[in-house]
Amino acid sequence: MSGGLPDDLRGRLEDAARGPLHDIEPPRSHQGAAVELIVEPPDAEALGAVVAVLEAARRPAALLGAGTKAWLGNPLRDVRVGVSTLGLAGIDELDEADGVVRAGAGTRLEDLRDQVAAAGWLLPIDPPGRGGTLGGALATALVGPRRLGLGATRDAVLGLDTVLADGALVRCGARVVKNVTGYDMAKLYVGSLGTLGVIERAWLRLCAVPESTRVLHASLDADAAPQALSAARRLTARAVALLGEPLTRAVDGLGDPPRGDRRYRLVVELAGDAPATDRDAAWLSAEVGAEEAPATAIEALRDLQCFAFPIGVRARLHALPSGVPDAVAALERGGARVMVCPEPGSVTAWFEAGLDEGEDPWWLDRVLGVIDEARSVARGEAVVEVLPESARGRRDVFGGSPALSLMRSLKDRFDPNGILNPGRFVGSI
Amino acid sequence: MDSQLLERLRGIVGADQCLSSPAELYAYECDGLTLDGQRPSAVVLPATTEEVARVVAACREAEHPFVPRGAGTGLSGGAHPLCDAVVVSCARMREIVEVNADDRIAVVQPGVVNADLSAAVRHLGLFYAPDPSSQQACTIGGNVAENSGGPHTLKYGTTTNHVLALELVLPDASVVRVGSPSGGASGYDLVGACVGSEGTIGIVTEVTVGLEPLPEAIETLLVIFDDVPAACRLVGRIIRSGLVPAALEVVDRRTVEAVEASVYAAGLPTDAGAVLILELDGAACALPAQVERIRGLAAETGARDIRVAVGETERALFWRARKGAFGAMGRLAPDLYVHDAVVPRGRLPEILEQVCAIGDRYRLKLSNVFHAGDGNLHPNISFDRRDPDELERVLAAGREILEVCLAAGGVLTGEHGVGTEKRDYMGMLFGAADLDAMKRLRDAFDPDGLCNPDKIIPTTRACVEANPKARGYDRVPFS
Repeated sequence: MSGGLPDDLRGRLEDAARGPLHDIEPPRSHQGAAVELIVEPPDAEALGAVVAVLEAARRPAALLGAGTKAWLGNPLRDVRVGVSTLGLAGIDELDEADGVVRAGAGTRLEDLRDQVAAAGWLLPIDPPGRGGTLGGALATALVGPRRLGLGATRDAVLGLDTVLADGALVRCGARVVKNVTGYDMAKLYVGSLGTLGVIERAWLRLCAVPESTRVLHASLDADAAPQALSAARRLTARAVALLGEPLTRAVDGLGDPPRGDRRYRLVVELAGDAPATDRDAAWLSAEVGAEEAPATAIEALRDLQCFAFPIGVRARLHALPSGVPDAVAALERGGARVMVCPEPGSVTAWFEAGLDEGEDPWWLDRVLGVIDEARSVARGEAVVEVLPESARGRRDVFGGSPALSLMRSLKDRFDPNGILNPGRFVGSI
Repeated sequence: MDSQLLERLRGIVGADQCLSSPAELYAYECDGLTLDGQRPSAVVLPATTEEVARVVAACREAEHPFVPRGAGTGLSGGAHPLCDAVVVSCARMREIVEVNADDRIAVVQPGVVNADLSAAVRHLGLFYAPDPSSQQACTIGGNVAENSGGPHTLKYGTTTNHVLALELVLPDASVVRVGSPSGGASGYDLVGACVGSEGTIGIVTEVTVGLEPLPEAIETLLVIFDDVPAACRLVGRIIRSGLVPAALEVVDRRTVEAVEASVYAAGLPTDAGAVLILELDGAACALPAQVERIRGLAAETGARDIRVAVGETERALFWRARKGAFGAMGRLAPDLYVHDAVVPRGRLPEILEQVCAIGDRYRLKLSNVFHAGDGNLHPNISFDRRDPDELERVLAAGREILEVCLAAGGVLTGEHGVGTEKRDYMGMLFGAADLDAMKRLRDAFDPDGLCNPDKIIPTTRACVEANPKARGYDRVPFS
């Protein structure tokens, strides 16, 4: 059953992908689309050919990695075909002397992380969750708990091979760690959810492995947010998160709290030279009574960032550190549970819906109102990551942008026929 | 130029801030790349975003190109016109609008001098990390345009890693804000696209930057070697060791000689083949062990001597030798061509040997001062442009050096930009489709091509004029 896709299109896609197509029965629900056919090109050339066929047929496509961040974005428009990057897996080159690596978009991030670690380096890409691909991590540019120490996703990218909507394979950047040769195109593709081009392969910079890594946690009550910010400003702080104690039980790996009678848990990862991490650990112990935490705590925080209630809303706010306490107060007043990464300021907020509430427009409007208020008092931005299915499409989950007309102008030039993930990005681009 | 446009520009910025006589325009003919450029039709110095927008609107209505300019210290021709164009200088927009120490950000106008920003926030225990060699003169707006680096980019990154948000006058004269102080703006990373766009997609009128806490402790070391490849081998060993110095800078013998004969003299041994300036910063309790590890690695790679700066005065002296190198070169010849290319760090020793061989083969005074930790080479060629044969050899050697770097997986420029200097070399690194993608970015911002035209992307016309002589490189203005 081809679900009505014309046979000649199937034939051309098969030729382009140099392999069988994957029919999905029943069609997979993906961001508001029903994907009935997935094409998995084995290499860059085939990917380019597949995209060119779709462009010629004006047939929009969903771009798929491992599907671990399928919750992110606005509903897709008119999509029945998926293009998977899973066939583009593997490391091409890991230059141990230079600390750079080149890998395909379909490479599993855990595999890449392990191989980089085996070579004595650290992969500075740390998205929420697990099981995702390199391409997905770059296309979403979501950051995990180690954003403080490892930097933003864009900072790790040295060069990209990208397939544009017309099927052209284009290169930007290179393998070197410093480069201003032409426009910094990689910045455009990273975080664009594939809407300007399909990331096929990347050169990444690696980080030195710290001599010492320690994970500590503490139980806090009043003034927790300022204390978390002080912790984040210790020299060796690589990850700092403050979360409501009930949230720690939503995932495995955070262990029992040092004290059971407090509202919040502070989790801190220190990384650096041993004398410096020891000094910061001693400071944390003296200031907030921190103790050694389970080594699994950071992974648990990554899992938590992808956690969703069966019915509910999850949003992520970005704000300056000084705006975080007000945002947290507004969210908690509105019934949210929160996890705070104080620097750079980000707050993940969960609203759990009661049995009848999730589909109730009044409940949803109230929750979105709380998120908007928190964003406004913190003078930041908010992305609604998880919504009840019935609420999808009611508003731009990215909250729009003051530069939307420029963004549309870019989209028009890179993907004039709206082939690549149409509708999914900011302003339903 | 059209006298109506000139009158209109005068009306916007005031007659005294609109330069149009040949004597006034002379200083704006070129930037730090003196081999290129053309006299602008006028220079305007707006004081506000609104004036910039009105200037752009006037140029646009007259279909007259315009070129944004900071301090004009750029080395690739980004800030000078190639045609009859109005130069829009941001030199008067030099206010530090806001410093927010709690959030470690600053909001500045584009004409703020790089070093002045760090000086202004020092009492708060903060600094602005990108530190190009020209930091006493260059401005933040120019740094944004060129994605400027500096010796400390090894640890701290370049300008793009420190800019959070921009206010920009687009070529259609509209004012737009891109990015966000929180770093969490939704949508395409337009800040990332603007930084390093060399003034071709609009005029930046306000910059929000992140500030860094001053390091708790600093150690600055000089490691003396008999030759440059040996110094590069130590750089490779350090990078592989997991140490992350704040800076790893190499100067070669010819540079040491020039520096020691100049006002920048720092007491470097003039018989040394190469000097590595190495800076560590971080926790005071961790640095002594790092210095010991460096000593061990230096001994293993055949270093002749190692000196650790005692106190701030000696540290400043070590850095003066590095940052004064370009100035000191003025002693060697009337002209200096500061080249810029990047190679994989592991290949520095062999590449440096090839670069020096090219200099010798072309009978040129070639010296090297470079950001070894980033693999960012700066072969400097001292020459006299009045000697047409020597000028031709400078350009030929420059191209050959680039070919060697590209063959090793390197790129055309690490921090100076493409501008006009390397525009016609872009085809050596990128294919037509790659360049077309860049053009799509540019066209999205500047569909009419009025903003700093003919830079970065080679045009058909530029290809015809790929011969440097056709671009005026054989012009001898001072003879």
